[in-house]
Amino acid sequence: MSPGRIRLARRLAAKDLLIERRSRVLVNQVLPFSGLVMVVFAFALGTGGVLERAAPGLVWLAVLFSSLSTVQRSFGLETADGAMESLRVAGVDPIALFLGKAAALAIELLVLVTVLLGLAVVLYGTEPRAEGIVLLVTTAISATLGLAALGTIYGGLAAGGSGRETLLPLLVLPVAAPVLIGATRGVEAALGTDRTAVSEGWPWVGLLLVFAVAIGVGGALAFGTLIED
Amino acid sequence: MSAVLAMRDAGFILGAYAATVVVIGGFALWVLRAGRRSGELVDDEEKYWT
Amino acid sequence: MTPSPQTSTRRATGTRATRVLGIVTLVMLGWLGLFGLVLSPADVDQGDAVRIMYVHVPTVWLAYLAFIVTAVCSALYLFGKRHSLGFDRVAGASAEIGVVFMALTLISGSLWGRITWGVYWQWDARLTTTALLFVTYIGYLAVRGLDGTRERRARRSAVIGLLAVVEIPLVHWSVRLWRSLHQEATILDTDLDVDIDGLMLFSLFVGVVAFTLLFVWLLLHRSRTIALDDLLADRGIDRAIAERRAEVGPSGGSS
Repeated sequence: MSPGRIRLARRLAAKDLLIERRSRVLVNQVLPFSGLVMVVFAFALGTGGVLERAAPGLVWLAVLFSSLSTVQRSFGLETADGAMESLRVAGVDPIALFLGKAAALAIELLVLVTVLLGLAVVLYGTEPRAEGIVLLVTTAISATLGLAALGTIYGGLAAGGSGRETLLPLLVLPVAAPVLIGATRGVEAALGTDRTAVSEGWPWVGLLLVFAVAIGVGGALAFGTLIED
Repeated sequence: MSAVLAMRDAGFILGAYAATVVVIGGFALWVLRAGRRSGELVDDEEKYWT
Repeated sequence: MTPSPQTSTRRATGTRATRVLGIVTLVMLGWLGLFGLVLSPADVDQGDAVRIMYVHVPTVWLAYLAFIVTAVCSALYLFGKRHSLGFDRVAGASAEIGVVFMALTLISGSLWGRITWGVYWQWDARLTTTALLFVTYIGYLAVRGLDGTRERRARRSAVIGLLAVVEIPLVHWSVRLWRSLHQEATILDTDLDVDIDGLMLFSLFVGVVAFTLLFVWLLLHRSRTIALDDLLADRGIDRAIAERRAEVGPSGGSS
């Protein structure tokens, strides 16, 4: 992992985040959508005890669905005007490309997760407890890293239109299942849903980290081939 | 034969076997038919199995 | 002059070998029906429901075998020096067959569940993982269906095929860990807790052999057809290019 590669990845991530800051797509479109999803869940599930018990899962469901549009946005930037194509042809290291995009995606998703967790407190009545905060933050970060890596891989594949973008949910959701399972259980333990102890959450964080590393490494190696023409 | 039909839940068990026959049979027929259709359009010299 | 009989009909994907294989497979499948439904005894605990297992277990094993074949061929294509497209075709054919077998696994499994547990489905580790895998490989087939050159399709699918295989343990562990937390009501035990009688074991064996032969037979036919289709597609492109050139004419002016 040469310093040059890391520097390049940082520049690429900064580029994506700068574009987001200027266009505000995440803030103006994705966040409202995911907030809406949280509200709509309440319509579907009723406001009895189910909502509070299901809160951890619902948050991550909303994150997962919203991540799809976030990924599509991230790669839509690249295919319009052939931006990524130019970078690739110019010989930019695909691993750096992958890391940069994944990092930007991770930061955007982390913002999403934070907002949605806050919304869950407001809308679903869940209350974080002091002893679970570290677990909560760790779970959120580990899960987000995995989702970002996943989204970058399949986003790279599905970018380019002509019936490819609709492929993204079909490809991502089955593979994201471990993240959904692990992240939900981790947050449940952190919040104490169903009287889960905080200690029960840590194995799930382990799983999330294994996932993030496996998908991250696999993705970094595969990315060059996937965006090749 | 009557012993088979008289099994408890014979419907589900025979149904499972029937589903297998139908799915496998249908798939095999489709595979063969697709092979025949494509095979007619290509000369035999270019087929690596002939 | 009588025309040679060979000029009118071209061969399909069969050969003498596949015909023999096909017949043996049919015979084995017939034996499976005979032993599974008639000759083998009912189980002490499960009763006659165990008969579904003689179909269900082979289909799940063969589905996994098919996906492993896909992964191995994907690797051989991607990392081989010659990037031989033959591996790509076998990978694709194998995945198609795997998906069909997995669908059968889910069908037979849910019928078995209906008898044993009273429900067609339950969220235990194995069923859930199987369902997720099923969808994953449908995704693989969808990726193969994308447009692009032969090489592009092969490269993309190979990557997806290898990633899918990496996912399998991840999905399996997470679901297993998840379900192990909810060990209530394990009348719904999915372990094939059968005190295996000799004849039952034999029936299972017949099933595995029959389905393995079926897999090989299907794989041979399917890979050959894909090879034909690729040839036809390439030829279609060549013809289209030739026609376009002919349109433009010898002057080379643009139209």
